[in-house]
Amino acid sequence: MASITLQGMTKRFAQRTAVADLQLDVKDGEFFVLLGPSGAGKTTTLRLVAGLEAPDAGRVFMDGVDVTAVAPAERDCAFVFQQYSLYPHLSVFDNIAFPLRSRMRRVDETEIRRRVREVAETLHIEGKLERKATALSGGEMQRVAIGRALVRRPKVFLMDEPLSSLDARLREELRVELKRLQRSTGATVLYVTHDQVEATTLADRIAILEEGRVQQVGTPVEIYDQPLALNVAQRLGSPALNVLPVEWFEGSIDPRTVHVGIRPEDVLLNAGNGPSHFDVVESSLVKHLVVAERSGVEVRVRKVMDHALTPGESVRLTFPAEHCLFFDASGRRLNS
Amino acid sequence: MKLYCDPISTTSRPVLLFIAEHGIAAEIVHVDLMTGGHMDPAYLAVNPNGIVPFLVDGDLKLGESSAILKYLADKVGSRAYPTELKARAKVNEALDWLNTQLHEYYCLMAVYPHMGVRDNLEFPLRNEGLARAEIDRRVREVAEILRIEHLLGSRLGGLAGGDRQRVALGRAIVRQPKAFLMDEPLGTLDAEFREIMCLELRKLHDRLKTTTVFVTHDQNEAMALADHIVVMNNGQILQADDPQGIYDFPSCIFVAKFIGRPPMNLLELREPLSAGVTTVDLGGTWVEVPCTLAGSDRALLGVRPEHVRLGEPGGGLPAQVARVEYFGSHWIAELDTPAGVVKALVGKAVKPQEGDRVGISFDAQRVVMFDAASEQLLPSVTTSRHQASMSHG
Repeated sequence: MASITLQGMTKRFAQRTAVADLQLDVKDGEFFVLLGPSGAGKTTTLRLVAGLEAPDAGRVFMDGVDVTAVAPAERDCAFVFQQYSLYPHLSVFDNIAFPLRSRMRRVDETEIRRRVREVAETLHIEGKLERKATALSGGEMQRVAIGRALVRRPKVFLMDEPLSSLDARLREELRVELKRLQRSTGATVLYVTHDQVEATTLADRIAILEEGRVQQVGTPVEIYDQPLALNVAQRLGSPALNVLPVEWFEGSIDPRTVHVGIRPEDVLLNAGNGPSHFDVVESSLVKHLVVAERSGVEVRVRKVMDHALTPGESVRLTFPAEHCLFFDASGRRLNS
Repeated sequence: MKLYCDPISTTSRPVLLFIAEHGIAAEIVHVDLMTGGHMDPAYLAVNPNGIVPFLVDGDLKLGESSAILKYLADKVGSRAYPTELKARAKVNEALDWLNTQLHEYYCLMAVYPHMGVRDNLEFPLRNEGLARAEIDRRVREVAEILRIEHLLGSRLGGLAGGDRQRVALGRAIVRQPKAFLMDEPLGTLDAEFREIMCLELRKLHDRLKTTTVFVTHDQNEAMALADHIVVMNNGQILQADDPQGIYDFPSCIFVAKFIGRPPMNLLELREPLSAGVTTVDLGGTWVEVPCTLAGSDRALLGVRPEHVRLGEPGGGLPAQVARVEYFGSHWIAELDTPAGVVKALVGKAVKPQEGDRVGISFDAQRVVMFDAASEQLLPSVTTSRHQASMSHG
């Protein structure tokens, strides 16, 4: 396994800058997640690490060695894509064995059998090795794709939204498995996603990427609790961060404040009417969520409730100052 | 708003069609269909509250569906079921035929991609032969409700997913139907947008008060939108109740696992359960439960992750933290206990450490019991106090 360092990485496609002066330090054995909306430059970053794109500026290091000029095949990265690109005419066994049979590696057949079997067991697909790849379910196909990456024992794993084409239940299952696998093998994983649940549950550290720039790097807890900017605060959290009108706080806060944010679980909800009451719009027991509205502003509250509230019902909401996040006009956090 | 929750979507389509044909308040009908030498039950059950579950056992097979369609056609009476269609017995064609019979109901949320936004909204009205002034009035009104006035002049192609879906919704509303029948209308949207549209649908419903039957396999949509939910699996109604009833007192193990994320914990008791007890032996620890009203040889204790509390070791059921997942607003801890694995929802303030030994207790009033053999909910003082908001045939 290896560490990855990116220094001043820049990549332009025609007029558009996909990645701008990117600095990243992924430690050996770390599960590192790049989180951002589509077009943020996540996939480009991954492809730069793999050597599938050449940077316009900047350098890539693996274990401290400059590999910027090294061919992709020699960087020893295993790529897992969103679309499990398996060979449809081959069996599961042959799909997993494929990278070992490449001319560059020349692993002998008994060793191949041993390693494929071992990988298949880790991924719980040992019973399906003889099947055609196309005879598998989506979840199983993605397991095979991950197996094909695992079997090579590469220096780093590069994963590009590997779970996003799976349905919710499978995604949950495979998410847990990926984490277990990474822990037990000590692999370095650079993982791209736009799904914040994958980010917080999988990552040792997260980099929030937007418009080709790193906005913040930190552990999931650091990023969630101490966002440096409004866009970072809005990137994590489900339900999303409430952004409240600054007029509601007038007089009591820093005059530079333009946006006030508060996490749904930090809003206090009480029954009752009053001069500053909110009307319930939606209430869900499953998501422990209440959405309430006042003068056109919707506020989301996360609370484990005994009873769902009825739409139209009045509630009082309070926003404890110690849990509020204050941002200036540029979106920078004021009370960090 | 009424809502069907159905993991198998092939069974939900006929529900919509049946309602379209018969209106919301019809009678209770049971039909048995003889197909291929064996009896496949199909239930058409219409209760006084206006819930119309139409269930077919398993997937719709060719023979079954045409028999059902024939039945529906007979019920419609004067509208003859086209015989050439029967001869071809193509399910889709038959469904299309039924679709054309839908005058007063709107079934599918769809748009004509080659038309502009205004044309899409006007099209159903022009088909009805409405006067120009009336068409303009209704289109304006609907565009205002959905906040798409500024898009009326646009083509559909360039619209964002959510705006497109609003136009589709607009096409349904503009006809002022007696009911909205929606089959997974939010299924194609991404998670974030689904949530926003969900909220919008709920607001729209509160404003228009139009009866809506909504088919989904997404429990979040179901729990957030519905006044009533009918949970179906393999063509059977498992439970018909309001969201609170479904959540608190799932009628069976399937519903308990289907609704709620992570799902309800189900822990097997060591000893047979007797009626009239208020404590049970769970992996060697006595745990308080609502007074039971029935016994069972093999019983499961059901408790939701948010009703599990972590305390000091030595108190309650002994447990060890096996795994912790972080979700920002909370942690989900997976705990090993003598009674099996228990998942608990823990507030964000304190992180449970992997390997920690803790004692866990349950919010006793929220605990339910199931019979392991029949997989059905066992009655207790709390379940008997609850009145389902509706019944089903």
